[in-house]
Amino acid sequence: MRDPVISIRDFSLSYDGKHKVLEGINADILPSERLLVLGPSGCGKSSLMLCFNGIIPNLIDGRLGGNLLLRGKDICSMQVNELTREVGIVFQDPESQFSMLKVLDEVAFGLENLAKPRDEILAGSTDALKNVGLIGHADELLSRLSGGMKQRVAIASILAMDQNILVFDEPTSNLDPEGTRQVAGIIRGMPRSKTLIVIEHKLDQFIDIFDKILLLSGKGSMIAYGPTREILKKYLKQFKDMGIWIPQIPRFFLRLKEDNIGTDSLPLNLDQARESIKRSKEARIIEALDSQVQKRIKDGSRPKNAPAVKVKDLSFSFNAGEPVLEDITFTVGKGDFVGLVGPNGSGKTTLAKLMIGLYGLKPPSEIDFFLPDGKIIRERDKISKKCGYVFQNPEHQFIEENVFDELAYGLKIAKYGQDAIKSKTWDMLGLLGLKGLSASSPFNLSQGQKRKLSVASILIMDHDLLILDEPTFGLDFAATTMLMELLSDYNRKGKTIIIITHDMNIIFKYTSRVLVLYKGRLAFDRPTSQLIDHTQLISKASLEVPPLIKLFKEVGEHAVF
Amino acid sequence: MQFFDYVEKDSVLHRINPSLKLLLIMALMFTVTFVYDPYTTFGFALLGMLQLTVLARLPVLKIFKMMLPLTLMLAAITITSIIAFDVSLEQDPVVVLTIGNFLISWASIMFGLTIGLRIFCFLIYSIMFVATTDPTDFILSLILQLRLSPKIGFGTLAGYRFVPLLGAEYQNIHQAHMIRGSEQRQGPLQRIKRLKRYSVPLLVGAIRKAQRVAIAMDSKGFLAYRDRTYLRDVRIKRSDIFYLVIILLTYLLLLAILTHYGITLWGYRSLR
Repeated sequence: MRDPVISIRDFSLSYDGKHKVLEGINADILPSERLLVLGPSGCGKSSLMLCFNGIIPNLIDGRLGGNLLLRGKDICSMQVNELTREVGIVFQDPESQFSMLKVLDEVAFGLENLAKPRDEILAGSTDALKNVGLIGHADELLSRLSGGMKQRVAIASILAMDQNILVFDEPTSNLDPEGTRQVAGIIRGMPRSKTLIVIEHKLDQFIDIFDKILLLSGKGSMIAYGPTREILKKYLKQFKDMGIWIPQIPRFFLRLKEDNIGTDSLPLNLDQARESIKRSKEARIIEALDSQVQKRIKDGSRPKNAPAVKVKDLSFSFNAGEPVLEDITFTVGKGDFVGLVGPNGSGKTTLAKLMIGLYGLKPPSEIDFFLPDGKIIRERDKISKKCGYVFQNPEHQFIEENVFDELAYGLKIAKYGQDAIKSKTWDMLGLLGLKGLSASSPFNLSQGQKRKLSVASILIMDHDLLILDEPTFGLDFAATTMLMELLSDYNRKGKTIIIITHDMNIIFKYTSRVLVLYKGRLAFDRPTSQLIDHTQLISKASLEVPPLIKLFKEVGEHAVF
Repeated sequence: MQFFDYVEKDSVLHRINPSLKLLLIMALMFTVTFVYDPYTTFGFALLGMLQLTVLARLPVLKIFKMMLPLTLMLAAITITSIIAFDVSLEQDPVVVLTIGNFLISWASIMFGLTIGLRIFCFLIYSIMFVATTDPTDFILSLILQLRLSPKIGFGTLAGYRFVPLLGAEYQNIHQAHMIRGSEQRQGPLQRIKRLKRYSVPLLVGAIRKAQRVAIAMDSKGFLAYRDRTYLRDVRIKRSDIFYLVIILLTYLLLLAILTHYGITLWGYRSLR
């Protein structure tokens, strides 16, 4: 057997000496292995990654217990410069992992730190940029690139340093489907000489590349470590309980197994699923697939309702610059659940902000906001009393100093009575499971709790129309499902919802209609179920059909047994 | 083209070493603060504009257009300076205008014009530096030639990226609070209160970003080796020295000629 590159023995980590962030971790990572680290949010995955290259404890204080060995050497005894030659990390946020302004400078940064001569730096950086397909962008400003391209630069800047162990800390979680596809493709294509350690929860694109999974509990202790299929099979229940995303394809086949509809080995990607279905020749698989897919595509055929918002001939640009939106006309009916999608920078947020009157319009652009009695309003202060808007970054809308007041804020402004405010707020706190945190500062909440709070503080106002800008961004499976069910209930009460998201599962499962923005123009405005057939638009506008629906389209509809 | 921003192109001034350019420009600005006649000051401004057109190949007319709002400020400063000039200190004032108790002498007009032109000069030279200096080269040059600590240099560079982001974030917070119906009265007290409320999310965001950048930089071995190397070749070349000598000679020549004809005046006392 080959010697492990990293061996973790009874490893634990604590920041304050008392409370353990990580505990009881045991793993042997072999050279060229692809390891996936899974666990609910806040389980210490990222901390573990920072131990691998010595950032903890060298730069961030932390007490390490047990052993963490890199090629047999204790990481704590190694210098930072030794470790940076071995381990490279790509981080989650494309905005905040760069130190330079331009692409080539950024990629060269690591080699410069390693004090390489100039010609070597240039050669190494150019090669790395070629590998991620960005050589043509070497002289561009990083700020001009899309999120996916930024992450590719981040990967190039690690590739340039030619380390053998590459760590990816949620590399695609901030990206749109197109960016995810690009980055997943690059990770998939990594040379076998590299050992890959990946934290990620959006795994539909590349669960099949992983040899092993390290599964952590919410408290940072190890639940299991083993081959991918085995872990998925054995720990399905734990995955569910902890709110971890399980990729659609294996989840579907695991459910089949529970019903004793068997396939030999667990398919992880589309190709394997297709093969497996062909081989098994079980009609019941197609039936199950059909019913699953029906659950996942909301029926969009609802009666034409009175309009809630009418957008007509809308064009818009900031300070007479390039047009952000051009010639957009659509109507959202009362009680619609509308998805607003498109690549980053296609003008989704701008359109949403225009709808609540945050920017002034020039004729002939018109946005009419309809009150229940059919009266039209166009003024921002009037609209904001009738329409809720949840901003992309929850922290941006926090006003009060504790969670309770934050939730009650809107009610106070709207001059509800003391008792009504109290009961409504406590109800909402209970619904969110935040009762115990009513006195803490909104800024001290976890990322998921912050997001819940920011949505709830708008939801509580009981507005007729709700616009949400990526409300599930960064949430785990449990929190996403909880939030979306909350919105679904709200929608069933006859409220109108417009949601901006990159999560195509949400689009297909919850929305009845989709608007696709592409380069500032409205490229699609139809019931969601019809989107599947527009394959050209889907690839052009950086969208994605969830794998299970794709599978059904490919094998289900023409299945003859 | 933005008003006070780097203009990416290739020109003589773009190629000059940033530290050398900075020191030279600072020296010229320093010198002009001791000049107390509008003619010499104007000469400095003219040479600056000449460099902008010929050496930096920048559209000076366009720059002037963008400066138009500032001319009001320049005019105001000129007039205030004319009025503020203490005529009683003059030995033999040539009074041009009397407004009540105020005397406006020929010297006070010259003084006002000098101050106005001096600020104009500063503007021209600042634009000259900012528009022709790549920010990355500038920081690297400060590190390599002027021994700025790389920690501070690269920190500044990383922070520089966040400036526009911070602006967008402020905008978002403002909008989010507005939509939720928070107080939007315009009084100064309200503004201070609002600033306090906005500063929490802004600071939280900024600190988190800074931490992440620091971790990312350290992960790439920043300062792990004492002798870091650089891809960009930022050093003082022979052409830089050549430029330095030419520019210094030109300004000396200007001063020599104007002094010869008794036009250049040095220091405030020369006005009496």
